[in-house]
Formats: sequence, C-alpha cells, structure tokens
Amino acid sequence: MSPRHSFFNRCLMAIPLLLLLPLLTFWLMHLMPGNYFDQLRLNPQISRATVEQYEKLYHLNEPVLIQYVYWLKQLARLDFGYSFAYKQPVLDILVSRLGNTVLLTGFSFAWAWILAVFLGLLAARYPRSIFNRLLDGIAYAALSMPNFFLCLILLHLAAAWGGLPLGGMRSVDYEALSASGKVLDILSHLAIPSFVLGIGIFSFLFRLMRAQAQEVYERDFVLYLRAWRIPGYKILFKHVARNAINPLITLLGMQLPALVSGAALVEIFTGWPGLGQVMLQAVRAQDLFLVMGNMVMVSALLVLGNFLSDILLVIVDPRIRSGKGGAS
Amino acid sequence: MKRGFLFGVAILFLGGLTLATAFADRVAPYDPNLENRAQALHPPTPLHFWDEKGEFHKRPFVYATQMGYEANMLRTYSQVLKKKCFLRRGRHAPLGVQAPGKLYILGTDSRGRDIFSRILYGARTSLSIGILGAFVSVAFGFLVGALAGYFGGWIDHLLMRVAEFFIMMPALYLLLALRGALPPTLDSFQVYLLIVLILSAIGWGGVARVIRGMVLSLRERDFVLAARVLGRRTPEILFRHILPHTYGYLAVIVSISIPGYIFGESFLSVLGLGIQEPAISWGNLLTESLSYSVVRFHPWVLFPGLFIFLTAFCLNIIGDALKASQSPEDKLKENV
Amino acid sequence: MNTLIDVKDLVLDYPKGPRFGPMSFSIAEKEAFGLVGESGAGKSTVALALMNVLKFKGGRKLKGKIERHCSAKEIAYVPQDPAAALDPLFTVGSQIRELGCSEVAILEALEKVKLPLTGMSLKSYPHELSGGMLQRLLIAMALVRRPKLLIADEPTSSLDVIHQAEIMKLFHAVRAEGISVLFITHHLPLAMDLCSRMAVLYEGKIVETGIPREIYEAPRHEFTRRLLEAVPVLEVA
Repeated sequence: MSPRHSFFNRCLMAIPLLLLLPLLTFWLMHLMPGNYFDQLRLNPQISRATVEQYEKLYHLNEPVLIQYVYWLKQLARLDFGYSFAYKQPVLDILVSRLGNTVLLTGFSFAWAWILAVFLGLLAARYPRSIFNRLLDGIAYAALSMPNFFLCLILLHLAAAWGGLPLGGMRSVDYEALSASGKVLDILSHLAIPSFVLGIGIFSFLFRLMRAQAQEVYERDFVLYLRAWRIPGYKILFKHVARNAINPLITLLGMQLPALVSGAALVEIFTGWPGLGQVMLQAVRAQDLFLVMGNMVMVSALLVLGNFLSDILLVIVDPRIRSGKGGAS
Repeated sequence: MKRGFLFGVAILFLGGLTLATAFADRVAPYDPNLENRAQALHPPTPLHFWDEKGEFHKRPFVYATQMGYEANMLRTYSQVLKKKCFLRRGRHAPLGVQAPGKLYILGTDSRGRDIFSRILYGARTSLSIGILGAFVSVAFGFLVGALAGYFGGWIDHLLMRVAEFFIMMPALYLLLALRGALPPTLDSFQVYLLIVLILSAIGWGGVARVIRGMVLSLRERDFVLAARVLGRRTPEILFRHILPHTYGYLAVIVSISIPGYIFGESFLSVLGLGIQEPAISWGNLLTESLSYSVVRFHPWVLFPGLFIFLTAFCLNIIGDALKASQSPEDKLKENV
Repeated sequence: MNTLIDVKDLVLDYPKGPRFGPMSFSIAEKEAFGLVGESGAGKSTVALALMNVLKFKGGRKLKGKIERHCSAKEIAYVPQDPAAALDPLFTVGSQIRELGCSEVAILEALEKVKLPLTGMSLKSYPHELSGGMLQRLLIAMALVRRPKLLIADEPTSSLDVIHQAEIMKLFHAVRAEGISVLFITHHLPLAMDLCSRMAVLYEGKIVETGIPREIYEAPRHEFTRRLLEAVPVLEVA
C-alpha cells in the first residue's frame, strides 16, 4: 500500500473510533440503572429538590440521544464536563492523568524496545548460547504470566523487602526533595509498574526480532558483506538490525491498543495514577462525564499513536517512499 | 530443553488438569464451599512417610494441627506431633485423611475453604471461558476473514474496516465500561456468557485479518484456477480447496488465544467485575491475594495464580509445537 | 609467475547429497582462469570457499587444502545476482564507502566501470538502479580495494546480451590491468573469450583443464563436447 493510501485509510479509521467509541460508551453508561446521584439521594441531609436540580443541570433525566448531543456540543467547546466524584472539571483530571500514563507507557516501551532489539540481534547471532536459551525461557514465562498476577507477586515481594514503594507515583514528601531526589523518587515508583508492562512488550518483541534477524542473516547480501570483509559487529548492528527491524515498526501501530490496555491494567493493580486507574474508579462511581472524557482521550491517543507509527514507517523504509511498497 | 519433551509435559499437565477438573467431585478432597472458620488460612499440610522418631510408615500421613495465636492476633497452626492421621479413602473422594487431620493440599483461604478443591472446581469455569472465548472469536474471525478474502471488492473493504475498528479499540477501557454497565443482579450463568461474549468481541479482528490475507493469496493460486475452469462451484472451492490450508493456523491461534481469555476472565473476577461469589473461578480465588497482610503470612493464597500461569505456559508450548509442525507452504511469515 | 591460489584436492561433503570434488587447480598472478559448468555443479560454493566465507551448515564439510598466497583483502568477489547483493535499506554510496577506501579510489573505480554515478546518484538506493548498473557497481566495489584476484560468479547470468557484452569488455580491461580473474560461468564461449586457462566442471568433478584453444579443438570429455555443440552459430539464410 502506498503511504498515501494507508494515510487515507487511517483518517477513515480515526473517525469511527473517535465518534463511535464515545457513543458506545455513552450508551453503555446509561444501561446502568440509576446514576451517580443515587448516592446523594440516600443521604437524608440532601433534599430531593437539590438532587433533582443537579440532575437537571446535567440533563440526566432526558433521553439518551439528547444527552449525547448536549455532550457533543460541550466537547466541541473542548469542555469535557464536570466530574461528580472528584468535584473538578473532567479535563483537569484527565490532563494530569494523561501525563502519568504517557510517562509510564513511554518509559516501559522505550526500555523494552531497546533491550528487545539489542538482545534479539545477539540471540539471533548466537542461537545456541545459554544466553539465548535463558532469554527464551524468560520471554516464554513472561508471556504465560497474567500481568496482574505478576504485579501482585512483585508488590508482595517489594513489601517484604521494603526497598520499593508500593503504589502511587510520588512519595508523601515529594515536594521536599531535591530535583534529583524527585527524579529518583518517581523512578522508584515506576519500577514495578514499568517492569510488568515492559516485560510483556519485551518478550513479544524479543522473539520477533530474533526470528527476523535470523531470517535476514540467511539473505544473500549478508553473505556478500562477509565476503567483502565488513566486520561482524557492523554487519549485525547496522545491516541486519536495520533490515530486521522493519516488520517490528510495521507492527507498531498494531501494538498500540494492547499497550494502552496493558498500561491500564498495570495502573489499576499498582495504583499508578493514570488514565486506566481513573477509568475503573469512574465506572464504579458511575461518574458519567469522567468516563466519557476518558474514552475520548484514550481513543485520541490511539489515533495519534497510529499516525506517528505510519510516519515512522515511511521514514524508515525507502522502498515505501518510492512507492515500491513492501516491508519485508 | 528438547521441544518434544516439553510438549509431552504440557500435554500431560493439561490432560491431567482437565480430567481432574471434569471429575472434580470425585477428585477434590473437600467440598469447595465448605467453610471452616476454625481452620481459616491453614497452611498446606505436608504428607510424611517418616515420623518424628525416624520410623517409616507405608501409608503417608499428616499431622493434626492446633491453632494458636501469635502476637498481633496472627493465627498459626502447629503440628501436634503425637497425632498421626493416615491417608485413606475420603467420604466422597479417593483422597482423605483420618480425623481430626485435614488434607489441605494447598492450604485454606480466609474462610477455611480448601484451596485445592476450589481450584479444581474453579478450573471448570476458567478453562471453559478460555476455550469458549477462543473458539467463538476464532470462529467468527475465520468466517469474516474467509468471506472477505474470497469475495474481495467492497465486501472485503467493508469487513476489514469493521475488523480494524475492533482491533483498534482500547480493550480494557471498553471492558470496564461494558462490564460496569451491566446490572449487578445478573445471575452467574448470564455473567459467564456475557464475559465470553465481551472478550470474544475484542479478539476476533486479528484473526479475521490474517485469514483474509491467507484466503486472498490462496485464491490466486493455480489449483483454484484449475478448479474454477473445471466448473466447480464457489462453496466447494472454498471449503475443499482453500480453507483447509488455514486449519493449521487456526489450531495455533486457538491454543495461543486461550490463555488470553483466561487472563481476561481472571482480571475481571479479581476486581469483582467478573464471576462473583459463590461461583468459583481462578480469578475470584485470587481476591484473597489482594491484601498484603494476608499474603505476607499466608502466601499459599497465591496458588490459583500459579495454576493460571502453568496452564498458559502449557498452552503456549502446545501452540508453538503446532506452529512448528505446519507444512512450510502454509507457514506464515510473521509471528503469529 | 607467482601462484595466487592453489587448490589441492578440494572436497565438499554434503551428508545427504553429492560430493563435489576432489578438485585441484591453481590460479596465477595476472591470469584469467575460467571455471565452467552447469548451475548447481558447486561453482559458487567453491568461490565462497576460496573467500573463506562458507558456512558449514547442515553437516557440510570441507576437505582438502586451499593455499592462499595473498591476503584475504586482496581477493574480491562479484556476486551473481546484483539485485540481491546489496542491502536494500542503505544508499549505494554508503555501502561502497563501507569498504574503507578513499573517495578518490572510489571515484576511480566507478570511472573504470564507466558508471555515470555522480555525487547525487550515489545517494540512490539499490532498487532504484537497473540490473546493468548494479552489476557494474558491484564490479567497482570489487575493484576499489585494488585486489590481486577478482572472483566473478556468473556475472552475466542476469543480464541481457547487450549488457553482457559491455560487462565482458570490463573484464577484459580488468585483466589488462594485471588483476587475476576467476571467471565462473555456465557459458562456455564467454569463458573461452576471456580466459587464458580453463577448467570444466561436470557433476562436481573437473573433467577438463587447459587453454581454450586446446579444449576447443580437442575436447576430452563428453560434457565439454556437448557444451561446444550447444553454442548457437549465427546463420544468415
């Protein structure tokens, strides 16, 4: 597919994602009987009139479609509404959480990728080494382990050991720390969630990279590079690497939804204050606008990620640039 | 480690687990719902052959235990070395011990229920959700992919856009919203079905894409052309000539997908959004392990997780073995 | 004249398949040696063995001796299929520069092969150049290090007749410069045209050696005779 064609496709896909998903979510939220204010109703100190006032304010008594239209209109003004549970504008909450999720996801993705590519190349070069078998075993185990279970085990171990914090993103005394202290603090909180998230990515990418590198190694041009006496490390880390990495980049876009879901899961179980964790709480509390806003934000994130990966692919493969298409 | 050996072990484990699960009422030493608060959070009871005096007994035995409290009101159980309770036929199971000993192979939970028995019964739910979910999603993806790949044109375009939409969905978020939207008053069976459906809806897209690619390329091959020239009709061409080439891939993808569905179910159940008490699944068995204080002193509550891991591990091994045994022309280049 | 390479009783052993050899031949300085045989007779494998880049996979074993009287860097190799010979993701220029020679040497080599590559076109990618250009580029890459021996593995097989002729002219020029050539081909007339000595390979064994004239006038082996007979002669009706 030429880059323009797939770019156009992406645009097409973005629209339903950004529109349909929120609509679907909206409808789902309204399948739940009652709403957030049911709790208030139970409180004898709050009069029914007050509750009804709230409901009227947020149009909660009107038919679903009308509510949706109101919400869309708000969205057009970039007003994501008001969170009932947190008593703040939704946008404020989301923006702060967005950064945390991006930090966690980006960090984990980065180290997992770098490690997977590097080790995958080495493992392809020395397939019979202990090092390869060991990594293979680790990758296999990581892929068979349910993420949340790993989270639990690590948290319990960390608690017993006492070395790592058990959740959240910052320690209580964060503000009092020096700049480097702050960085270290966040890193120590990132350790467990990032490890769990990253090890899954790593395992998948490592095996893929290794398989790709092995395939590239068999190709003619690698043989000729050796005939031209190009040094081995150059062959491996320049030529084989570049050729082997192509399919991984192609798959980048496909990995994104899984990455986003994985991050949410890890956030929930380690208490990392990101979009995923907020989603669970919002759903439980029936905090309508927060759920909706969250959905939109996550969808937008996915679409953006896909665009970026497409651009990356065009940059990386010169054959696509001239329209000859075809990653390996 | 040799591939063949691992494969054999995996089959053995899964086979044994399936059998034990199917016959749980005969195999499990205790009723999974039988609470025994007096023996809550009891550690696993080891079987001994040699007693404290160094004597050997042919029949293994467990020691009866006595409950005590440590500081902090922490329960401990110490073995009463005098009392030996031998293995014998249980009241409704082949395994059991003489009273007042208990055969808690994997310990008990906070309500005194035998974890091993619960794992066996829970396996019924978890494994079946996994298998069912995998089958439904793969079947549906297969159908869509085959149609899209064979007929091409606008059908292909439309179906693939739909599949891509499902692939791009942020699964977990939708799962939470979906599950949260359901009324809390559904009965266990309905929840069960719903979970299978929701998980499958997320998974079929990838399968559809791959099958469509396979059918597309197979369609151009000479033997299909020959069949058409000979006047064979479409359904026959599809079913007898093209689709059999995809069965290898399907087998692989089913075995590799099952762990994902088991994970999905346990994830939901741990959070209380999946299979609820009193129904048992591996996921909701793990709700005990969320509490630090429990796990710190009673780590055996983590065993259900171990079973999930082992099951997934074995399934992956089987999937890999299936992949390796495919004929080279049907092999897919990319990592499945 | 000094011998550059001496091959003594070279045997390639495949556990499941045929054996190649024993083969013995030698290549001297400043001479063009032709190795003629059908595809699959093991010619490329011999070339790779001479370059010492043969991988011993699948139980493949090498017996016999290969004596080299020059360093490894003085042997250059021109591969058979130009399109598959280069890394598709790097520019042509970057790949030729990887060989570690000066810009001057590179330009000289490019001139020798009459490749109209300016600074700009060195930035093109392999898939952007034609087969003929690629082949010439590969020869340039082989020449840039000023080798003593050039191993050409079926250099004309993927080219059409006109390009073939041009490439052959190049090889003549190379030989004229005093570089030895090991010319591997299945096309007997081409080898006879270029080489001062030849060996014919049939089913893995050398069945004929000598100077072209001798072979032409008095072929000893049935296979050689068939090769000679297969050459089409232009007849104008």
